[in-house]
Amino acid sequence: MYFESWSALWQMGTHGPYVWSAFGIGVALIAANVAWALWHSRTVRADLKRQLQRQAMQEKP
Amino acid sequence: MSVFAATLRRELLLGLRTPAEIINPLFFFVVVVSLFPLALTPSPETLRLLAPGVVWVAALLAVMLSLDSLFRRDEECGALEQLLVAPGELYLPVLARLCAHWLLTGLPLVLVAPLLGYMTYLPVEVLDTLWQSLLLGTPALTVIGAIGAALTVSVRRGGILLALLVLPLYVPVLVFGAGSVGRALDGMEVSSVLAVLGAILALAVSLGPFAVALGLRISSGD
Amino acid sequence: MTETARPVPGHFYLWSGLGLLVAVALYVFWQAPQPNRTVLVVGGYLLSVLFYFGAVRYPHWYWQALVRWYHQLGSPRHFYRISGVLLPYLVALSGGLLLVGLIWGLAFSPPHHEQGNSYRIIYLHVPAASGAMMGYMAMGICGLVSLVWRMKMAEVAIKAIAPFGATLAAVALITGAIWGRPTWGTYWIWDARLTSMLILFFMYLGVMGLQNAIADPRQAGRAASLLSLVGIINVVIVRYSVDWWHSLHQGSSMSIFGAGGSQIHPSMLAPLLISMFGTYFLFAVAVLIRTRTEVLWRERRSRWVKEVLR
Repeated sequence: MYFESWSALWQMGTHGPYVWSAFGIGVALIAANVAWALWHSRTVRADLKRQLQRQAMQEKP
Repeated sequence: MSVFAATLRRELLLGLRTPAEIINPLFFFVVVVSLFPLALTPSPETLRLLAPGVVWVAALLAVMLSLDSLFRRDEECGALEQLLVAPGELYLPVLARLCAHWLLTGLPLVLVAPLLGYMTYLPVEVLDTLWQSLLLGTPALTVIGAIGAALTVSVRRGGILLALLVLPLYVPVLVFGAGSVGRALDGMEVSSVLAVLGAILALAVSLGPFAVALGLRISSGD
Repeated sequence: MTETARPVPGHFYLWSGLGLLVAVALYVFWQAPQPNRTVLVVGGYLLSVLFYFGAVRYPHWYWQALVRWYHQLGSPRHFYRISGVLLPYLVALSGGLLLVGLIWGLAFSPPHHEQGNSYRIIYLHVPAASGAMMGYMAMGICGLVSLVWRMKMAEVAIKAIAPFGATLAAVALITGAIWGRPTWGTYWIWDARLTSMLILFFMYLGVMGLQNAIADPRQAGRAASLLSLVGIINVVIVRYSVDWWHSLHQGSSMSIFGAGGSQIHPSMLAPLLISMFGTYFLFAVAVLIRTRTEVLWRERRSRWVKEVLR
């Protein structure tokens, strides 16, 4: 590792706040986007499954 | 009579019979430019510096606001449907419509611009560049904006959406248009920048009507 | 072509894939300041052998593979199956590359000689910016495919690309602004690259807005196709016009990282390239997830969706 200690890595000279806030915001935004896509996929699947079950129930009797 | 001439004649007649559609963008242009001295400062030095951008942005917004009515009336009365089912290429009728629309809304802006430039203290020799750049720029703005208008013609209350679609596409025209006037103000040569504006206009006029026609077909659900 | 389609042998994919890997490896070594001659020579030999077997001796395989892939990707059912197989590998690849690239860049690469540690933002900023740019290019190509060949999957892809591309553009803008504070002393500067990224962000928003405004999915897809195709031309012209405009208003011109990207020292370039490829793969993951959802929804009345969901 380039830095001698964890606190040095955290502080990065004087630039720690800039680097870590940039990475924090950026990674959070990207992760939120992927999570949103996953959540949407899950709800759509659940909806479609429920519809299928309802159709099956109607056809059976 | 050829398709182009017939469509042009029809559109011009329709436009002249509803003069509000010609006068409103012009009025908007004049009002917006005259708001700036009130908002900023009446001092000639500052206004002269800002004038190229102010006049160009106001002209751009005036063109954009006039576009909402470009296909709307034809869509409401069914003339657009007729045009789409008629045999033959759409290029010429669309081009004629755009020409008529520019003659009725864009050309008055070009003619009035020197007066507004004079009111914002642009030197007289810069006024030439101002109207020349607008003469090359406003038709390009009309054609590019018409693509957005064609895509949003079926969307109710599509005004804000139209702005969101069209304004990013206007950036190059604005940069070179206002840039040419700014260069003239600094006493530099402007013919090269006007040539770029002309190139954008040529690109827009040659390819734009195809995109507009395709957009109209998409919007009609074809 | 009247000859009947022969099946493409499995080892063809193996050879082509190996050739691609060798090409990537060569590209990476080429970036090194003093390339290892042995590696270049051996790699070049291998590449030419693979190219001979792959493209010169059996060119129809390439063509057949291309046609087959096109048809399979164009059919929602096959797309769903293939993407389902591909997705776990892509997730692993992007996760691994991003983890290695970002940690290497944050903790192990040396600081910049002028900017100190603040330059480490580059490991997120540049991948996000180039991902947003490539995303728009991909969207325009999908637009062309959807308008010319009326391929349904291309419309779905445009709808899937736009949200992640807009997010990447936003990330590039935000990280660029934060990077600007220690470098230029201000959060925002009308730098040519930041300005064109802002316009790109607006154009993504325009595509998404148009998609949302039109109720019919096919019509919305075709409208977005046309807009993104027009947008591609605009992206190129905006790039030139903003550069010209920036050179006209000199004064605060200071590029973040030299004139071109090639002057970066290799110890900084390697993690940058790794996180860039990681971002591209993550882009593919996000697009595939959204495309699969949309395909399921659009094809919900077909038999295969019922079988998939059971």
